[in-house]
Amino acid sequence: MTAMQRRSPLGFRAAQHTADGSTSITEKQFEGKLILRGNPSAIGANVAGVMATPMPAKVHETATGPRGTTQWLSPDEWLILTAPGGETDLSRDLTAALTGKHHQIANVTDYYTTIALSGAHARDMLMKIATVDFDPLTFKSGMGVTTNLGRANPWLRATASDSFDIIIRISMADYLWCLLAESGHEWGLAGLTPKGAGVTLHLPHFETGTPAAPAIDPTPTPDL
Amino acid sequence: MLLITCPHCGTRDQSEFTYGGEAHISRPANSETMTDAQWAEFVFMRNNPKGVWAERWMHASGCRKWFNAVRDTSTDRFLAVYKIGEPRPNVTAAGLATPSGEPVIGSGNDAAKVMR
Ligand SMILES: [Zn+2]
Repeated sequence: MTAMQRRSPLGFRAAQHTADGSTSITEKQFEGKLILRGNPSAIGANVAGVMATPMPAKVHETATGPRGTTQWLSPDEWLILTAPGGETDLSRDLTAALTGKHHQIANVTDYYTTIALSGAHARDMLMKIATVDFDPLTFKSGMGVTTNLGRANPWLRATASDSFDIIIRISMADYLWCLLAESGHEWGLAGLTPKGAGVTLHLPHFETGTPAAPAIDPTPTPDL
Repeated sequence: MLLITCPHCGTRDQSEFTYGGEAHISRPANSETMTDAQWAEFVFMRNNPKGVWAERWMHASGCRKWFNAVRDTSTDRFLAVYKIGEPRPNVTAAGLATPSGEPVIGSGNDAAKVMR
């Protein structure tokens, strides 16, 4: 019997560095992620008690404490990030603290992954693919935002003046990874092609009129 | 580039938003007794004014909340944004200088320049 192995969505991608070594993209594997929903005036004090930080009350606000980081997503929705493996305990503690209060806690740890973008060119790389302003005077350390990077729709947060954690759905993770690599290409990041790019699903019977099962290439994907 | 102000998130690029048509149309409570014509009136018929009107937007790439806006359809200027449930603010458009309503600048309308 083989041991169960957990595989992260970007586990097949090696961390990338700019030519000057200043800036990198890496995957933060298995970071614990919860989505909390509820009326902030009803649940705020209880959540603050567990997280030991005030509840972020409006756009761009985040709060980091011993149990993790809470990020404002909408007037009744928060993202809670915690250390890998910590999501089960934190979810249990929040559920206990919110007993009898109308709320929802969803463990979305494995539905998203975290890309850490860090270094002197991090803001330049974001500015090339975003519509929100990533000027350091506007988007300061500790601020969070939900926006579009290219066609991806991540949550991101400035963890330091030149460091960002980008939380992205696993289905868009490789697209965003390759987009960031492309954005940093002028500083020496390698050009990458998203897995599956250029592969079109062929339905032969639409083309020939003869029903046939779509051909599936049995060769394993080499980079997995 | 058109910027839209979300009442929850502030000013963002238009590409983060989706459009929801005319605002303040409530679903009839007595749909089971309505005629087809009355139902069609609710489902399909909308005002199409040139000028100020209220419409719904959704901040799809941000907070994912619906909100209402008052926009001048002849200039595409947003005159007000407000949260769902709040009453429509009483705003009026700045008067349009041109007889047919298009903006003065860039319109090439000599009559407007004379009126100004
Ligand atoms: Zn918003």
